[in-house]
Amino acid sequence: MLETYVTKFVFAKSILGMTGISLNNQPRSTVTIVAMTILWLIAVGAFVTSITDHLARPGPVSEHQSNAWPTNERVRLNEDGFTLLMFVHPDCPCTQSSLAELERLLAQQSVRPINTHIILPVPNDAESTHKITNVFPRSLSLYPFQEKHILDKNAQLTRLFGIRTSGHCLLFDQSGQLLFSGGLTPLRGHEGSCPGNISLAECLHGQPPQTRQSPVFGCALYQGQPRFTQSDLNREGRR
Amino acid sequence: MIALSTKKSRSIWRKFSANNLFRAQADKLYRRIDILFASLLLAQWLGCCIWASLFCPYTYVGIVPSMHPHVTTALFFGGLITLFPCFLVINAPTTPLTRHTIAIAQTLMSSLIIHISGGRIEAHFHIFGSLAFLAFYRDWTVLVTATIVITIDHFFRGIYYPQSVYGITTASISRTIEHAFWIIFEDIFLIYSCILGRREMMEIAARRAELEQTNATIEEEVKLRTQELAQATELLQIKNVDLEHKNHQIEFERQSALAANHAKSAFLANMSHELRTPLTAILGYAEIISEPEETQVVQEASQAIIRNGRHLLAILNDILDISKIDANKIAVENEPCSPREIAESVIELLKVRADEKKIALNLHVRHNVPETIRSDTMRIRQILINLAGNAIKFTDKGSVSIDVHIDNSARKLFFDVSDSGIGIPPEHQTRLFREFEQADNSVTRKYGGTGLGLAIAKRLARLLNGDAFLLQSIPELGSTFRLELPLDPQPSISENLASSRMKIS
Repeated sequence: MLETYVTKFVFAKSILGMTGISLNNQPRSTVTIVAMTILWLIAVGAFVTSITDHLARPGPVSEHQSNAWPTNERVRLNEDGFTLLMFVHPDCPCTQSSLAELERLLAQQSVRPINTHIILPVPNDAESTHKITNVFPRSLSLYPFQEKHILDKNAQLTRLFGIRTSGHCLLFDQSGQLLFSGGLTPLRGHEGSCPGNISLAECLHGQPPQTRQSPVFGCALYQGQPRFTQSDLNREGRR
Repeated sequence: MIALSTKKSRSIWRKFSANNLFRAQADKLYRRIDILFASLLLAQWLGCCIWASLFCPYTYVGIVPSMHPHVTTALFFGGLITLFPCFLVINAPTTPLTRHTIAIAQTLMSSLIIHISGGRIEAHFHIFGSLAFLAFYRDWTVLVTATIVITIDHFFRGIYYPQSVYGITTASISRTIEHAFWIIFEDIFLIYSCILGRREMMEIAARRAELEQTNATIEEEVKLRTQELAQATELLQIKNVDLEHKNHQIEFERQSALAANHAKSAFLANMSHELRTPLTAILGYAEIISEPEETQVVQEASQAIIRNGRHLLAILNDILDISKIDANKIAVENEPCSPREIAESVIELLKVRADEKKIALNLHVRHNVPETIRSDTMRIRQILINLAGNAIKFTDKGSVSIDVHIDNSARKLFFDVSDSGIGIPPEHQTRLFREFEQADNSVTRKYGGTGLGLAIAKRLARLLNGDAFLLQSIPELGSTFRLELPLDPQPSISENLASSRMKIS
């Protein structure tokens, strides 16, 4: 027992010696400072873990997502090639990373022509729409997409496709078959190589992707559960 | 050997001093860089807060905003990694703990900046910049700490959140090694730069120590020289004082010589008179004798001629004696002699004169006085005749006595000649034994004499390794003179004798 304490004391003393602080000269302040340093390191470690965990935590994915192209009047399926949809929140800070990754992918050659649609869920009221459409094109205009963005009032289309998180990408082939579903960024707001953008690139090159689904990192596109179905959409459209 | 030892001790001292200077310089550097890093951390923290607030202030659930985690992260995590090193900079400045904590904090700040900038590749340059800045410490160990923190961060992220650093869901350890390699690649140059910088600091400290030692040596030398100069000045002053003293002495001696000369002149004047008077008397009485009819007168004249002739002879003897002593031509013997017999013979000789003056002449020889001593009978006798003769001369009533005794412990023999005469006033006592001087000129006129008797007595006593001096004197009551002689034979007597004989021969 005594030997254990002695060993611990000698170990602590040698550690303090390495820090250049003598235990004999300033016992109280030295011990306090070293204890504070240890606590600080623990706090820092906890913080880093928490931040990284948040960063790497993907957004929710809808259970209602279909593998086939849902019939709608707002977006038309490209029957000659791929149809690529990206759902982004207009104010989410992660949107720019998703768009940058998308741009990078579209700059590569594809085996078929791609119709790209950026779908922006916006509130139904005019004031909010006006506000958002004034803010968002600032970043969107930077990217040379073939199609203009689509303002998705009340997130009708978004809900129809079963999307819940900003940055979600869907790739359909000419038959309306879902080839890929997921995010293109490795973390929240982070650009860079990740399984999502690698798989999407593989799909565009006509190769079998390493994964057909990838986590999506971004803000929630709307509140509540997705409740729109095809009939809801048709009803909304008629209204 | 001493020089070698001094050289070695100087070398040790120089090394010690260089180390101290290096440590002081290093502390100064550490303090400066600590403060710079504290300022940088605070600025980075503020920058992160501003960046997060401007570019990603909110996160959304639909259209409902809430504060973005980047803002809270920048505020709280940035504060955590900034404030503790700042606390250490204030409370434990220059310590290795502070430096290493700053290295960790700066590395974490890189992580925060990369995080809130969205993992932009450009933001990764912050790490390399930070490492370069850490090298300002010239302490390569802080680079190691920073590298370890980066490696650990990548290692654990590689295991638990590989997509956060490598963009893949599973990563091997080789990716961590690859990242660490590039950091170490930079570290190599920075560490080398630290070592060079530290060496340079040490060289500067060594040069400064050498300079300080040289200055100290020069200062010491100057101090020593100044001290020597001060000592020399002091010595010179002492010599000056000594010289002045000697000058005074010489002046005093000159004055004494002048006085002696003056006394001699006065003596000659007196002696001329003294010699002329008896000579005139002798000549006068001789003329009277030349007339045959005056028989009664002839007898009286004959007596007067004899008396004056004797007086003249005594004067001449005295002058002759003092001249011989002055010329070191007087000889003293070293032979057995009896103090008692000498004293008795003196009493016997002077008894007639004492009787003429109707004063008693006594002799008292103590029982412990030795029968014989080794000295010069004739000179002792002469001294005693002088002393006792003087005593009779200056005593008109009462007695004159000679007391012979010894001091066995001092091994000395004393002849004390006491009288009940006129005594000597204190102001005249110091002049008694000077040559050609009597206590008072009136004395010469009244009592006659050359004034050489006591001077001769003193000079003779000293030739016998003894002394003659006035023991005590009370005016109108009398005086006591003492002749002091050594009981044991003195080598100087023989030497004096030999010297005297050689001179005589």
